[in-house]
Amino acid sequence: MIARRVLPLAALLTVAWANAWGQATLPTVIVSGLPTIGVAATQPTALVSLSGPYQLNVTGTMTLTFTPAGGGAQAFDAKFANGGTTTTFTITPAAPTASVPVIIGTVAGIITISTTATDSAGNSLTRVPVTNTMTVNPTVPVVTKVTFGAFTNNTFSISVTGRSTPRDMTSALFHFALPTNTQPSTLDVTVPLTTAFAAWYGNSSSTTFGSTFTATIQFSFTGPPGSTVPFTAVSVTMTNSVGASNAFGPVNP
Amino acid sequence: MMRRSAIFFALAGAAWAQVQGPVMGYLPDGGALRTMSGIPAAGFVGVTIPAGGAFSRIEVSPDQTQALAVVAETGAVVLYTIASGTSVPVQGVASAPDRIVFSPSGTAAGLWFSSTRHFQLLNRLAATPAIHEIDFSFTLSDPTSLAVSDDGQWMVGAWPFSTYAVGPSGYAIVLPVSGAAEAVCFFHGRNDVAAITASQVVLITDIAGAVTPNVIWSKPNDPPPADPATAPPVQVAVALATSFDNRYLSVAGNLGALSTFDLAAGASVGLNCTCAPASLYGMGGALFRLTSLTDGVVKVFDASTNEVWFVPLAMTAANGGPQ
Repeated sequence: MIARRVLPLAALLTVAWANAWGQATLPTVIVSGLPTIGVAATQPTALVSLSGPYQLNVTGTMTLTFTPAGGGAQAFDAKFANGGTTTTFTITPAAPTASVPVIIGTVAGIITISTTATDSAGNSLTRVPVTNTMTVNPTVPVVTKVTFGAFTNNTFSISVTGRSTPRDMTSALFHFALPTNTQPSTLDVTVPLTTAFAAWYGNSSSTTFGSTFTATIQFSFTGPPGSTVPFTAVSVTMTNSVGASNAFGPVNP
Repeated sequence: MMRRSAIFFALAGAAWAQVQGPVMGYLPDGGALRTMSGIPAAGFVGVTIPAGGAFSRIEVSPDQTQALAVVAETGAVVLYTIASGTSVPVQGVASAPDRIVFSPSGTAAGLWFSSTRHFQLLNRLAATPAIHEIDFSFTLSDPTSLAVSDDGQWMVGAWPFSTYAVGPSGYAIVLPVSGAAEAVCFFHGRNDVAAITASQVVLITDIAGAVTPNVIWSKPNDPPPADPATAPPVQVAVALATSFDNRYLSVAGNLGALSTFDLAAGASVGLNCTCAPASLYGMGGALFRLTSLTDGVVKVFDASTNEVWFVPLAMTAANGGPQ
């Protein structure tokens, strides 16, 4: 019984001592480092600290929720770096700041992070701000990779990887540079994509991927015998409901 | 020429599209492979894919199309083709290699056997590659680093006393590396090598011919620590690798330091991944995997943007996450 009383008493004495010297007995938990406008496909780090020196260890839990702008559920999009929507942190006198990376994801919407914290004496600490909110705005698509499939005598494919935060896509513009001495020297091909992307984003299996995609477009062509690569480079521009992406490329086959 | 372009235009417009989730690459995990899905800053480690057998180890080629695996029961080396999910024995190689090394683009590979200090250079990734047997028994120890050229004709091994290159002749050439190389690599599609020692990064061009060294970085002559016992730990390179376009040369240190030389711009950048890199496993482009699935998360490094990303396990068991 004595041992049971000693530990809480020690904690109380520590707090009382802190009070006597003018320190905040129960410091405020401060979460900083997170932007109010979240950029898709980034991983900012929340820095969790206390409003002042504190002699007790503090443990806390952060919980993340995500509300997609387009409605529905995107439970897999925004998350903590541990892959989940809850994570824990510990602040000690020796390590007064905890780092909590957040994966923003690729879907437009609002990320809300709430934090609770308790010191080693069992006191609940308040935090500032009460919740952290990050808004991921709908933006034009971003193309991150362009690769080529097999070239045959009359067909080839191009795969475009990227993201589109509104989870829609209307078209892709392929700007081909043609071989030397060919007239014209360039060729633009626009491929309508509304239906293909509506099918992808409407499929429940796509929710795991947020708004990321790989679109493979098959082309056919006719050229001189033995001609298997009918262009020397290609640039790709994707367009969604917000607008057109930056051109990606040129990429050589 | 006008006719050719006109025909091309008319038919190219009649394209079809298929949309699916992106695949970043594949992750060896306990003798199996997991899919790494999404894009680097917003990806996840997904389900285990059937690899056609129980393997004691498996290594993925940098182009993420094939893997070399060691069968757990027999030690046999098999070539696993990821797209088809099929594996075939690699003919003519010894069993149970201690190290599997891919060329930068994954077109060739090498196997290291510690007990015999023997290297088998595979000129291509196929069931029946030409195999170049190289005896390193004179070295009396395992190499600190190994590399294979994309044409499968050359290999480089670094030991504390020398860095050797062995080509078609079978003779070992001592490369002009000043000091013990901690890591070596080939450039993509070239017989050029990079090496890092404790004090230098050196590029050695044309190891099949002129063998020309060019030091691109030298460590300043810092004064020795007053008390070596309390000096901070020294960063040691665990891997050196180039991006697929040969523009970026990156170094990973055992304490998490990542340094990248932009060879086109003549500049360098660095950061710390706050991790312990196992290597720089090429994943295409300028993307490298740094770690295995530790604590449910993998770290990848994009040398073109000098950024490190978390790639966690999927959130649900159905997608490969925790059960």
